[in-house]
Amino acid sequence: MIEIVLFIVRMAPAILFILFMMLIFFSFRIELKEDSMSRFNAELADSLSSSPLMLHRSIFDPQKLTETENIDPKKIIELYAYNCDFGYNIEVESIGTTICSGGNECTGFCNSVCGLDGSNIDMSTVGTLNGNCGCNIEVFGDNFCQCKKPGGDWQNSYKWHYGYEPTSASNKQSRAEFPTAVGIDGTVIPATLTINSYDTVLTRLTCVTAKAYEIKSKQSVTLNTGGFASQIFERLDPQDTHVCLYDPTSNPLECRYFPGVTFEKLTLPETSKITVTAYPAKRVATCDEIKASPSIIAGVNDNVATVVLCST
Amino acid sequence: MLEDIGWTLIVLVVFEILAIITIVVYWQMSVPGSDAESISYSVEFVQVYNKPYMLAEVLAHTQLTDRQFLEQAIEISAAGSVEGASATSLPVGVKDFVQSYINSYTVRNYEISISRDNNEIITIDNKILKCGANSEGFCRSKIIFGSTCDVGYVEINDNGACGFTEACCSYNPATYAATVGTQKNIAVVSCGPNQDGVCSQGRTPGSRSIPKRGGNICDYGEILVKDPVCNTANNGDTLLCCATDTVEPSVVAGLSTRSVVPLLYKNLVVGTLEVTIK
Repeated sequence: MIEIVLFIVRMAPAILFILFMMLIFFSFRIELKEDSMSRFNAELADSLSSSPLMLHRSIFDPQKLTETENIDPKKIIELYAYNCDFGYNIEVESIGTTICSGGNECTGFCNSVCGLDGSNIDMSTVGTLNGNCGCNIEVFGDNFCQCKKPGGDWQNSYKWHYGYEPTSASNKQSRAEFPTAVGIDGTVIPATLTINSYDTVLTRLTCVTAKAYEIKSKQSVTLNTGGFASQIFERLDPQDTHVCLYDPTSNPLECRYFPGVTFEKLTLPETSKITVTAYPAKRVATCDEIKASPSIIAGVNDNVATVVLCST
Repeated sequence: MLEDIGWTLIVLVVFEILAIITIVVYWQMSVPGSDAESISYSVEFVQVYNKPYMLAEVLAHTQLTDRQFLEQAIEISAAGSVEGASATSLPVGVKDFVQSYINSYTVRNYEISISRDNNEIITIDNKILKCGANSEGFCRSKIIFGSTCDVGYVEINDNGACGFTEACCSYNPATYAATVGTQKNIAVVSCGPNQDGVCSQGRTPGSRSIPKRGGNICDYGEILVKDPVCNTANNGDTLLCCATDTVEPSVVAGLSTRSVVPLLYKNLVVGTLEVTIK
């Protein structure tokens, strides 16, 4: 009898000790402060500051900015720096205005800022009501040059804006501003580079597709698709450099610059949370065929004909 | 039987020791000011701060008066003085140029210095609230009750730099300590990585005209530096570690970042250009 009591007396502390160790184990916390979007903004600014958009490092070339902006009529483009995880748009805007006393002093400004030359510049009514270039006369303060890009609004500073513009809610988004400059007529004028980056359903879909295509391995991503039901992720024209989320009537809702990757369209289901798996395939196939015949999935040494997107 | 009793006693003794250690550890974690924490592992990626480099690159190509900034900076380093490089207008030109970034909120505070052999030849910054005979103080709004200047600071003649409702406060722990017991009754406790700060009572945001006590931000012209030594200083009355908002404490606290660019002339480093941005 006493042996049983002694056994219990020995076992009780041992069990308590084990429980205590379990408490310590399960209370162990790992805190990971990745802050990936802020890092992305800084790295993107760094990449852009040494890209072909520059005259010198961190000094933008107005001509290159205008050319890049005009590559796509909708200005949805992500050139020279790209991260498939996040879509971004940039805005380069000079700080301050160009002071003038008459419209003729603004031709250089209008050419640099709005890309207007002898073929399309219109300085009628001093550019304030009609036309697209002129000197804005101020009652108080200095007069300043202003111009209007085709289809754009009047602007009195050097400003370029292009990139990905989400129309749906983002999972995450971030904004950062950097001190840069624009090189004009052999000197530099201060400017601000603003980067807006987004993590959305479209960026995740494009990223998982690109990874499967480039890495030649199956990739998965989880999406919150509430509000995206029946939207279709596809590239309507195979020659197009953009992909979009379309509504059932093929009306584009949101697009991203995404050239050079072939994939099969995906219709988002009604469920609010899905997992999309992207399979690199040797030929066009359905999800059922991929599951029934895994040999369709491309290996490291195979050519990827297309990416098949399957949702569960 | 004796063996069973012996082992049982040993187990009980070991358990009691473990229990006592556990109680002591948990008690220490609950003591105010203790830096003991429950078991955790924190991984924080180092941030990428490239703004100072970008500003240095822009400055390098900027035409200020008759010559580019970079050319003037190299000449200042080589000559050892602004006058020797005929660049006396450089500070005004740089201030005007960088002010545009301040106005557009791209940059909050900056300090640009040109050095040679670790000796600063010229420093250009936007700390416009300096005061005192040698710009050693900062203008601070006067409060109605108690002392305007924070712990470790004493009020000095502002030399006309501060406004009517402001006082000029200069960091002088020795002089301040001489007043302990007569006016403030708060001991000066140095804090911060380089002992640049002092444990302070802080102030409440938006309440600059009431006594400073129990606030959660440092006074104007100061920055908050994390240091647990203040948790127990002055019986917990001075919980914040506040340092004068100069470059070094600001960089150490991670609030400002600095780029150091070598100034080269004929493949020789003649000096350095340092750009610090907050």
